[in-house]
Amino acid sequence: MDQNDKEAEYGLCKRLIGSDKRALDELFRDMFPKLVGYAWKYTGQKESASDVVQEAFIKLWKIREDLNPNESVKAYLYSTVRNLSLNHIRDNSRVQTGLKLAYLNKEAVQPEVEHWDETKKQKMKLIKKWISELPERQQEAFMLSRFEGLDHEEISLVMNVSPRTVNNHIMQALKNLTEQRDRHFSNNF
Amino acid sequence: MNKKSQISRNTDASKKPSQEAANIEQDKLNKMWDETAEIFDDAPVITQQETEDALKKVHVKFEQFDDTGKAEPDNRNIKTYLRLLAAAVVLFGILFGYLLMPKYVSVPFGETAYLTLPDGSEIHLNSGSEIRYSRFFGTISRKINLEGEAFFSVVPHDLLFSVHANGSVTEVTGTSFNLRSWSNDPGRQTLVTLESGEVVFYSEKEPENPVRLSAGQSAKWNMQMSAPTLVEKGAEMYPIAWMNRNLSFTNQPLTVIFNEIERKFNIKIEFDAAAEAGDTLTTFYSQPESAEDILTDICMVKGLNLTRTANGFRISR
Repeated sequence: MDQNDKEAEYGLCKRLIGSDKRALDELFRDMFPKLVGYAWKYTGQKESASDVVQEAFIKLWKIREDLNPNESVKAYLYSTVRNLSLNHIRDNSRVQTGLKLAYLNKEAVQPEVEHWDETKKQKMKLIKKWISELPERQQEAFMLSRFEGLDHEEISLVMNVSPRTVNNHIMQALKNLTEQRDRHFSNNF
Repeated sequence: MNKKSQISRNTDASKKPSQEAANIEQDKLNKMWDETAEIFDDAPVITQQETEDALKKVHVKFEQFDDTGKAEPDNRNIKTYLRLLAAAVVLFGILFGYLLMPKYVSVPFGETAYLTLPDGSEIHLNSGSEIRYSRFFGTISRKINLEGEAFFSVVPHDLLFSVHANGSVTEVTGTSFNLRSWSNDPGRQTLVTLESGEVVFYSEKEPENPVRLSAGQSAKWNMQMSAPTLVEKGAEMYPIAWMNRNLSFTNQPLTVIFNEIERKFNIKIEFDAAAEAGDTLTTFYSQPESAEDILTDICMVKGLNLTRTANGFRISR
């Protein structure tokens, strides 16, 4: 996040605290598609992902007067969306998934990407499964870094830990995934 | 933002001693990072239109909490409203349940009772009897359930007056009649005796075979019979003797007589099967004062032994 972004976010946050609805609209238009993508990785459904993100914005609006302009609104949104997504999974799954990524655990769901052949689909499914099996904090850091394009500082705000810890989580996640892959291929070939 | 460079920088610092091994390790991790690149390519695409629609929905939600944006007062209103609604539902439930609950009148042993129904009809209830009727009696129906014996003086009314007793139904419009129906009498016999007017008497099993009674007639029905029959005149000499505190039995089984005495004098009479043995008796007592005199007479006539117990008598052969 560069200095301009930070200043823009600071200004936006100030306007939010001042109950400026247009500030919220701007933030919504900017963040909605990204956050739905993030929530979808947990809920596995576009509909519920969209609901979760709307709820997060409503929450943000309710607590706007208590916001601290020095803290990242984006980080607040990511952590809220994650928590709401996990609640959604908890309340809607018949079998406890252990608050892992519901979508990744779903055996039945096949990735629908046209240019993927069967081998590739299988491989992607495997990687998703491995990610879903990561320890919770590693998984969270890895997902935010790899797929949401957040830098370590932003992730540290979302997860409320130091950027160094974020890096450790991501490194550890990658190591675990590598080990999984090595184990898999040595078993299968 | 270049993630790879960030990763390298951090690991380089921590793994200086074996630079080469670290580099191999680093390559593997970088490869893993690259491999995961496409796994979410099936993620849904959110169009601008979808974003705008969602934003509209959020705005609608905002309007639900008030202009100043404070959600609490409105929430509290909704909660209060819901609480009131819940209370109202509970109250209605209680009221409804109360209205559906029938009214009971039961007369203790040793006493009789007079009762005036909401429609103005009068009931004289014999000892130990019980009636039950709806709280809507006289508005949508005039239906009574009877266990025991009672004399009804029914006032004329648009609604049919009906008495249900141990599987029998007695229907009248305006009349007076005595109805005796004890569930512990043999065959749960119901006996209706008409004093004035007209009644229709039938069993719940066979409502298509009714008996029509005119003044002075009696009809009986019990579980062993399909349809009720008229009782020969004089077969029951004084069916409403009880109303004048008299006791009258015409060829009645001893069980029926003992049951009646138990209720009239509020005592307990123990008797075994051998003691009653299907024996019948015809007798009349004018306003008897004690059960002992009657029982002594019966036992003498029938050759039975009478002994006192704590709360009544024991009769044996």
